[in-house]
Amino acid sequence: MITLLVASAFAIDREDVLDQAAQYAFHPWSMTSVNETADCSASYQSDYVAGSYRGLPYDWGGYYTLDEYDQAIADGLGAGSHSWHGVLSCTAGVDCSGFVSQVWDTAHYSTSTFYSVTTDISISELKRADAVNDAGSHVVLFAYETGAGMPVFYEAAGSAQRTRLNSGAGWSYLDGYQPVRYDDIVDGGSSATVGEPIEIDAFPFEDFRWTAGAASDVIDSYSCSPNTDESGPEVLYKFSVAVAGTLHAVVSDDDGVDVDVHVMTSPDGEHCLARHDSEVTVEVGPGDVWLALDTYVGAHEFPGPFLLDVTFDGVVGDPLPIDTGNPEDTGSTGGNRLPWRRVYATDGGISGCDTGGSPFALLAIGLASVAARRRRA
Amino acid sequence: MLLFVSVALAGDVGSVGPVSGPDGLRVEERVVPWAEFGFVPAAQEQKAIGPDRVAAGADGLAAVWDPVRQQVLVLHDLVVQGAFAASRVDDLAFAGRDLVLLEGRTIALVGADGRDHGNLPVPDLVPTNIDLLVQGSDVWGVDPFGNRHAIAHVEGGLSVATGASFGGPAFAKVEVTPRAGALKTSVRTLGAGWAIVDSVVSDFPIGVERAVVHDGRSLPLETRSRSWTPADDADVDAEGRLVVIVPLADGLHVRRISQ
Repeated sequence: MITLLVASAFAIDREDVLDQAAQYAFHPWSMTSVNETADCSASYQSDYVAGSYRGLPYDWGGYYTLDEYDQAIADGLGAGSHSWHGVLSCTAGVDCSGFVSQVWDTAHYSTSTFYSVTTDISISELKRADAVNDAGSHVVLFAYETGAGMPVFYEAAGSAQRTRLNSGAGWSYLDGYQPVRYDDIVDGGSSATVGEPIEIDAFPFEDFRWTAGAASDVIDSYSCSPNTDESGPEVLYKFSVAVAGTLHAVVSDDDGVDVDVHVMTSPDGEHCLARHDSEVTVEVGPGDVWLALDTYVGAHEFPGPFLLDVTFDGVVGDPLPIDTGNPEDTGSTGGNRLPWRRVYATDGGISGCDTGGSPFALLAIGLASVAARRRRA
Repeated sequence: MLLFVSVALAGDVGSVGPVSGPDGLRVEERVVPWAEFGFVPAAQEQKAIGPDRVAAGADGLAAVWDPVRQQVLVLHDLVVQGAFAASRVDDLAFAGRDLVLLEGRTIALVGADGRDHGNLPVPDLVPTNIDLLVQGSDVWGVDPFGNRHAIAHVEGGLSVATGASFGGPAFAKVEVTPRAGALKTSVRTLGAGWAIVDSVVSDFPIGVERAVVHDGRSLPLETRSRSWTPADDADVDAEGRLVVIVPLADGLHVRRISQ
């Protein structure tokens, strides 16, 4: 009994593992020319050049969290490395086992030492968030098997130079590998619900997730298409809009899966702005915006994996307070208003003070000014 | 960014193999020696790195990405014609006689001689993990489910894609009868009725047999060759033939398979 209690204290659920893996594969980051070289190795040259990317670089021996990686790049470390560079202290990223160790939330094991925290399983037992390991060479995190039987997996691969979702390789990529299960993994997950939505804090946003087995199944129809049966399980996302803009969302799903995208102002289906089977474009104003990726039900339910990509050209954040002309009212009503910022409308738009010098705040106010002028026009 | 570094490496490099295959499929093969490519054997925590992307175009043109020497080799009728430097290529596809290169979140249009014809950012709405596909004058990214996402138009240069972003399935589904006793079967659809079928035939560890399939006919392909081999790749050319690269001990086998 004691052993079970100890084990459960450190258990991680499969959906959390896959959530982490997606963040590594889609993580946006930028580098400058400083990160093309590394000060501890004269021969080092990054695969990357100055620019913006998604997905953490492959780094031989690397075991970085996302925050540590961003800080390391800001500090001027080299972006990624390969075995021929040697293990360098002045480069950042993850290697294949560093990546799997991170998403399993373990210490840094290698492909040759994972056996101490895993159990071999047969290929028929393979579940999402299990790994497929080749001791001494490579390891991948299994994510899904498509309707065409293609294994889809996350990996930090030196050949691809980055952490990625690999879907086109087929089973032969894993010829000679051994499926393994982390000893402290449990089924399920509790996030992506009305009470605990996936928070979107920056755009473009990308996510790869499942409605099959999703923790939420409370919204069955939407006001923007009340006769469409969406009574299958759903995944919920949320973000806050400070300045209105255009939201564009694309959902792609597998053969035999039907996941639709809905844009709402509250998580109840009653305040649906737009919905579609694959692509939706809609203007959204200040306040909370919810996305529901819901399972269509026809002759039967069509749950399964989906890929979501979203852009938004407004400003994310708490809505700017509305000036009533009474200084006592500004920012005083709680909710999503900014209690510490006072904003005054003028003929030239909106100007701000007491922004704390935040460039973001200034940008938000500037864009608010543009939006205000557009509305007046 | 792109430099033409060599031309006509040699018409006598490699060899043309048999021109007939089993099951009625016609096979042409050329072996390009490893001296022409970079290859890094697998190390602890790193798969082998070698040529792992191929694009097939019109009039016998093909191109192979060599990530180690950071070059694109251009072949004509399976013979290497030259190479140009490219610092980072995630995928490549032919648009007429030019090549579209996916370089991170940028696509570049280059001539087969490496001349730069411009580039464009990949739209933010296009997923990260995509394969390139050129159909007519449209450049698409194909996501893990085989659905297309509009990236650009290519006609006298690159231009921003207009209209809907989501383009639906890239290819018609290929129905395959699983091999008897297979534990798992994966079907990678490549267009023009071609597919690569992997059959998992044993467990602890995974053992796989691979075959090219067209119209119910199949041709076996090697797996796990050259020890820890990089993944092989395939593409359908403008004439509907399948071009596939297979890394073996004596070199990179470039095969063109037709009905």
